[in-house]
Amino acid sequence: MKRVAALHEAIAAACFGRDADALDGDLRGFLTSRGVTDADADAIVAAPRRLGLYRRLVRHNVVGVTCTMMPRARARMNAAHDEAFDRAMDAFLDELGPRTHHLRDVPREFLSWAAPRWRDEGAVPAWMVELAELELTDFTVGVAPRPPEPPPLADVSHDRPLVFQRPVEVLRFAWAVHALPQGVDDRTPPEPRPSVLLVYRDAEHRTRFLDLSPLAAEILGRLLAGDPLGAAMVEACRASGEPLTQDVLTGAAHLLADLGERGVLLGARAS
Amino acid sequence: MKPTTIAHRARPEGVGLGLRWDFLDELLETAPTLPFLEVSPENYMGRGGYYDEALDRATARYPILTHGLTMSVGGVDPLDEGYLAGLRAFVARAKSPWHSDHLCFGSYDGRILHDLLPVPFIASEVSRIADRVKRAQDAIGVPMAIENVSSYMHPGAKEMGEAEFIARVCEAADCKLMLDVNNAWVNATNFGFDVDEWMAAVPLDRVVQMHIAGHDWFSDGTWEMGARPPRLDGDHGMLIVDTHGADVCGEVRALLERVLARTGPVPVLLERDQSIPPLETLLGEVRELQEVYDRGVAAFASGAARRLA
Repeated sequence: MKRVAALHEAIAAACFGRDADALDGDLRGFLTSRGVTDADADAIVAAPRRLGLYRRLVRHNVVGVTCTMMPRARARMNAAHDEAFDRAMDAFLDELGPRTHHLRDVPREFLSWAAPRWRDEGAVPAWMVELAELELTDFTVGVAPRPPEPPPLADVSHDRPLVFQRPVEVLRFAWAVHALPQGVDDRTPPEPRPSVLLVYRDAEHRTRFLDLSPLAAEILGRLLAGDPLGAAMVEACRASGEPLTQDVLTGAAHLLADLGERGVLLGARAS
Repeated sequence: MKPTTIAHRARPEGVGLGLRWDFLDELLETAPTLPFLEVSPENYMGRGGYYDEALDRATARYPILTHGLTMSVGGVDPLDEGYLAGLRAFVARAKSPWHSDHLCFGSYDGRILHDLLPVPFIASEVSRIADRVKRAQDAIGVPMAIENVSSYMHPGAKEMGEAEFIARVCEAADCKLMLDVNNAWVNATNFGFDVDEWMAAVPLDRVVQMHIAGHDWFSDGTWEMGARPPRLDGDHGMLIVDTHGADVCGEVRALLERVLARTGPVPVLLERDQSIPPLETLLGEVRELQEVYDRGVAAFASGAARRLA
């Protein structure tokens, strides 16, 4: 098996490795440095050079799906920051590579790997990372696994936790990337405005984004964590430095009614 | 854990179609007559939303056959138990009578390559891969069929030809064969061997399903797409790549008919993954292939009648 493992390692390195020059240059050195036996290296070197074709086919699949899911972030990073997105993809494939059986999940693996590096290195503006997250969330919420059956429901009251349709997420951005034009060629910078978005999947399976006020975000964050409605209201107002007034209660009632109409809020937990 | 037998689930015949996002809506709305659909579990496992619901609709209307992409039966990494458990549940949901995947490797050191990489045709690999096929078969609960892949190089020094290797793995694993007729022709043309001799050497009695597809021509070395050369023999500097991006060529249709005359009626699946035409055009190709299928099966029946007479 050692012989076969060396062959697999060499082929995997040919497909995902950062340096493709060896495939056209010192191919024997490339193979033997990965433990390929002399007999196998002889056979490969004597045959037409096709490892480059496999490299193209493999990268076409994994790079293609990643570019498809984050087209605007990729276009902006590549245009303004020396192909930063594509260079990060090359580095991801070289250093880690996909671990998922599902091609659709490769972009999430890539962004989870690349985003901290982009932030730490300051290679691209922070808002571009947020734009990538926004684009990817649009896809991932749309295909998130089928939710389990909700628990028994009761009427909404202050002492009960609320039950929400899944999937649902709260995204927090320092920039209003969700307000950017949709065009791939657009280069408008986003407004530096802290934003909180409720992301959910509607009845037609489309991903929807709802821009929340800071107080609404505080309330919903606690409700989604399982706090009873009354406690969530009190703690959210305390955290926001706002008094719990009749206006706040009325606003919260409108928010919950709106979420009910959108199919996001299902009711209160019965027990 | 014993695999269930094929008899427990419907075994379709005729020419079916691989389900793709590009025409899923239209297909489910128009519900054309097709003997079956084929789906890749990796596209649905762990997924909710529209496509997950669409799969329920497809399953209610058509028999489904499952065809995987990432088991890596030829890999050296351990088989992924979590993946196999999810696959078992998916195959049960789809009620597929068997599950197929490719005789190739697709992962190394935990990395999934998301493509079909060639395995060496050496004696020591026969039992190792066969053991993995048997293990997978036990884990997913239905018979496994392994598919011959298109390849563009042999990794290292070979000890036998592809057909013998396939035959020996199938025998050692006691598994089924998913015969990709296009892949056989592509390899025969790229490497210059006789595809009918190849067919005579693979275990056609183990074939439970066939694949058929189109391909494209590329310049060998620079990989630019080009035209099919006027003559296929000699040094034309071109290589066929199994893109599933074109109509099925005449030679592959003829080969399908010859093979069906030997196997009898097994389901044939048209794969189309790139340059996908409108659904009606695709269904037109399915109808043409069904005529090929009917001629092949008729030849099988008359041959069987002669043998019985």
